[in-house]
Amino acid sequence: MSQLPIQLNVNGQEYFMEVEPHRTLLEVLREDLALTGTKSNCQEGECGACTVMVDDRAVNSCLFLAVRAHGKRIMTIEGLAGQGKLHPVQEAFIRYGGVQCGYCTPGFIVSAAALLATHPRPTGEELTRALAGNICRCTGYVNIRRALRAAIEAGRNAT
Amino acid sequence: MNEQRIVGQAMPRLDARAKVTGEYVYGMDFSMPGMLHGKVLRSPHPHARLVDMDTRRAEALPGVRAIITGRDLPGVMMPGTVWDQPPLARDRVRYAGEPVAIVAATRPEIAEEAARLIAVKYEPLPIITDAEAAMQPGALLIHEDWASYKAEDGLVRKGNVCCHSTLHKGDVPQGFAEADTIFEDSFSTESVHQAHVEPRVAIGVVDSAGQVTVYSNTQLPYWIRTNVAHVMGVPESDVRIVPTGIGGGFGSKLYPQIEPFVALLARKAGRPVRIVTPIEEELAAGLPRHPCRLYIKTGVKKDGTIVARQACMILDTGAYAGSGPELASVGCLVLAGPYRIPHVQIDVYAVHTNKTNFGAYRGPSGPQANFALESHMDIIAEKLGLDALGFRLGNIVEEGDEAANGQILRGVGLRECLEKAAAAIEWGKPAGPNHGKGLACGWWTTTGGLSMCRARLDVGGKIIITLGTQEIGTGAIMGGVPQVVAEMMSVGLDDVRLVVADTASGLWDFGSQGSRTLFNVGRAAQFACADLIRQIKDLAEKILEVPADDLELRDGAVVGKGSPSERISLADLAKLDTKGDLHGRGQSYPDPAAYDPSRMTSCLYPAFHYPSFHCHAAEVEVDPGTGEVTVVRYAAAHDIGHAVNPTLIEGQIHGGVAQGIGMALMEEIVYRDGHVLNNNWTDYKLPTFADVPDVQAIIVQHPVEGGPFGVKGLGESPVIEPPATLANAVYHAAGARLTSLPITGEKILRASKEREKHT
Amino acid sequence: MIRFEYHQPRTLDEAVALLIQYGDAAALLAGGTALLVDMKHGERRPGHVISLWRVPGLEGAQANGGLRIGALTIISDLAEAVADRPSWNGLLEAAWMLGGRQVQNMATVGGNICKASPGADMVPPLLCLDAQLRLVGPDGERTTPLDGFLTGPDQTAIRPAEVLTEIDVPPAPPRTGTAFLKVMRRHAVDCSIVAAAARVSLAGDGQTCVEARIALGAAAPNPFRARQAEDLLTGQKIEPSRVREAARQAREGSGTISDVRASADYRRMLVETLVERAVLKAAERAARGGDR
Repeated sequence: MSQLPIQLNVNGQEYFMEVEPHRTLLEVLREDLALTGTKSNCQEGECGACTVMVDDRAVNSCLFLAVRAHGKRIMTIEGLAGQGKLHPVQEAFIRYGGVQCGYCTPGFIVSAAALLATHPRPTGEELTRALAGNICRCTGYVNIRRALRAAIEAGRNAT
Repeated sequence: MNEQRIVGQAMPRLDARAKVTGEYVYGMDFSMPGMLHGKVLRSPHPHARLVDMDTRRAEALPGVRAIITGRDLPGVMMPGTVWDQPPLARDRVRYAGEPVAIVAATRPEIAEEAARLIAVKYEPLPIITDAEAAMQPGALLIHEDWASYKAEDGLVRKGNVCCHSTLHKGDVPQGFAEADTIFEDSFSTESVHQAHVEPRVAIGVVDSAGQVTVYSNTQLPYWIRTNVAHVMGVPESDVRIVPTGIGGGFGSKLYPQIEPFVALLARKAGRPVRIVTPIEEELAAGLPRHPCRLYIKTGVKKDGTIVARQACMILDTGAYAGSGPELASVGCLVLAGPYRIPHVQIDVYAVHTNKTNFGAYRGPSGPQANFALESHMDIIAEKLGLDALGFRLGNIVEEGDEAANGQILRGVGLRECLEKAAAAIEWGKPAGPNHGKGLACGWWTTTGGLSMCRARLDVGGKIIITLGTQEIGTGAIMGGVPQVVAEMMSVGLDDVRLVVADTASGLWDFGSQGSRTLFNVGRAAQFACADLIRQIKDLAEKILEVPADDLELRDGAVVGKGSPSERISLADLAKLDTKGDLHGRGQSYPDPAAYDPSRMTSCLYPAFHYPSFHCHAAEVEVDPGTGEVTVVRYAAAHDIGHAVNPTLIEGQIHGGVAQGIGMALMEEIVYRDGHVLNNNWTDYKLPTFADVPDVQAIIVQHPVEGGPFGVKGLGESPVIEPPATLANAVYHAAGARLTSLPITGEKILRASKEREKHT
Repeated sequence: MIRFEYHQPRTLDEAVALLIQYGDAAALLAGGTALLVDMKHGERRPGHVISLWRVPGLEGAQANGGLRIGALTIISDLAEAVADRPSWNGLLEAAWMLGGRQVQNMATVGGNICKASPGADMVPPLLCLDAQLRLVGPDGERTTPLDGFLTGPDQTAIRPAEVLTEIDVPPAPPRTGTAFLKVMRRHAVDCSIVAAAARVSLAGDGQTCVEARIALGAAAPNPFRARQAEDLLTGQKIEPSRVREAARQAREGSGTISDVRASADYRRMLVETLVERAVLKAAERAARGGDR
């Protein structure tokens, strides 16, 4: 099968590459760009471990063809912390025990960061709707919720 | 205890930062130059004779580098309590999903295509999928040669029953004769999967000298080493297992599944080989929880005193014994319960069917047995007109009591757990319409076994801890152990460095499993630190000219006990240690719990070491029109001995409860005629953010001597009580007593309608 | 994952031409949330995947009197477009419950309709709103009601080489409320065991139903309208007993399916419960005045 040229902006950096059309954004990020922070698991959009932002929206990169991402802005977990400073959600996950095995964590944090970027003060219901597509098997979500509430509260106090 | 600076504090775990930034390296993130991709060809039949296999078309496919079938491994059986399983099926397949061939190719798609091109001729055989039917005389035998298999001493086996474990105490007929009322109930549970978010993955490398290296996200590297060496026919000393970061295991990653395959393929292909188990295969052929049938009978006095109990548990263990024999004895202990009962008879059978080998999912045997026992306890209380909490409080074990197996119980915080969990949901205060409250209690083990550790005083006064088992997510290795070390060494948590060594280090460990990790690895680390401290003091004695006995470690330095001006920092001591003397050794092998062997037969796990005690209580709401259950509030009280890190402990409790909610209300692997119908995460339902309430974790601390700072195991126990707790709460909310899991809206609505018909 | 050639037409005419050229070997790519899963499992093996994303004008939903939904409108954009309009609450509720946020950010309204699964969650509320479909094919453009477009699981009345371009929702009558409810095994991100949508449009008295719509999902091979139940409400005062009767009628009229998720029997019970609740909720929204 022929390869198609694509241009991706990943975490602010431009990449030009050729990819086969059947490859997913997840594969290209992990295999071609060595951005392994985005995790691979269910391959059918059910677990959320592969969540990245495409043009600011959280998507399952396992169901997003890399060729479709041509010309788009991609944000992965690696791009979330700026200048050595962690994103407030990352800080809160560390502090409040939102991390156990950590495999769902990058996807969870990207989903949460995407939400907070547009809805800095989400209601509990909005939080649930935004995060129900991320499966965590370790934490029971309780400390993740605690971390997110703290991050939201900190954001409120900062403004 | 108040003097602890670090143990007892909610401090961030050492791996947290790497995990929130995506930098942490998991098994899935490994790759090697020139690596090939492997694929396992699995049987589509639950039971068949393997008549012929033709690999020629697959071999001819460009990019294929190695193909191995069962016939390449004549006579090889996997080590285990019963040696009944070939690594690859040779002339017979016994479950749908059983590996029959493995392929390595330059790309995953090519390996998949090659697997499809292997022509296998099967001759389907009749199947048996019901464990009770498989126990009947004359039932179709899944292993005709069962009697000839090598097996653990003392196992009682016959036909399809690969283990019959018993616990017998007192005189049960006499006990029932003394009872005023006898209650009998039966229950059933379905298989549920560990559903670790990181898939099972391994990479094998074999060099030209025959040295085998396997990278694996295993919980139990040394057992993987034994298996890989055995299957490859090489000495164990020629095999090195490198445990990678693990994205969740919950017991699934204890036993070898793909590790021998990657090693075999790598040897044949002369290149590294990686295999990932996709979810479809994981759900059909992984090592999920045993489905069970349970029968339970209890004799009770009018005043609510239990006088006799008889119970039978049938574990469907699948096609091969796997962990079934060991878990049969665990079932005995859970069913006997944390109760004072004079007369007890428990029989647990592990029985073969044509399904995948069921495995050791977190608290194996626990939730099934507890669901039956604690539902039954509520049924009794209801019928006797007793309060479910009071009935339990009147019969539970207390400090110094003897458990049914004869072991003497220490550090028993069960009463406190019951009282605190009940209070947390306002037990006794009526729930609103369509709401109901329920509770359940239980006990569990802290598995022992060997753990080894080294502690080194390194440059800058840092303490390097080297140990032999991985962090699986609980924080035992990356949170608990470093806190124990920092406390022991009187340094900051920042001063502790932790290295997980591969098996080439020889630091043997019984693994990150069985609620044992912090207890045993932490204990080994304590011993290693004590050894190191002695060496540090000996060196400091020479420098400070103060007797070692009069020195202590304080804030990163060695100081005189009464004379703090006499002081040398650990960093300075490290500089003086030019000969590399300052390293301590520690190994933990706690004495197995003493019990009465005359009461147990065929029990590989006859006692709960350093047992933990727990009680869960919940309030649910049931929608009368749809049967949907909402968990309104949930409290879980766990006696964990001593809380080294409250945040990590709460996290274990929350997570275990969430998995228990899954098992109770939604999860089940659905089998039809030996085939799994829902082998994907669309149809296998895991709890989401919307399904788990803000579980209240209640920490109860009745320390035991043995573990570091009095800790007991915690990893598994929180998953045990939720099914019974929720079944009891649903009963009070909907009037429907569900005796089978999962408790779905459909079952509740049907049961409610049935009940309406009869009233 | 299977391999395929990838095409990115820049006009509808090009897309139609590619569909004519590749026939059964072609698959249209909208959100991809269903197509990619099917291709990964080998359940669909198209040699040619035709992405619609470079064709202008297919994305986005515009609300004025009615609602114009481009076929490539993602579910989360639809949710934004219909928020705060009681007459479209049913659409909003269906959008919120369709998969997780990540899927809502990829899956499209057109894709959900054309996939035609029994539990296509966007279909029942759109049926209640009398949605019309615009399709472009070799013979030009045509318009057809959504009602009747789905003809079986994974089957529609789409003609060879046709592309669904737009879903049009006519302006709702005054005093209209809609609602959507679904029962799942868990509380989020799950397929419907049964879903029900309802619309109630009230007369000036605020009590009499001038028009009722009831549609069910996951209860039969395709979402469908429960017309007899609707008839029991039309022209009548919305009273609990009458709504219950309509719900019972919906239950009787449902040829429900039995599968790994639930039995037909349970589904029938759910139909009754959900229809009653959805109608009452829609009526309550209508009584509050509908859109203002």
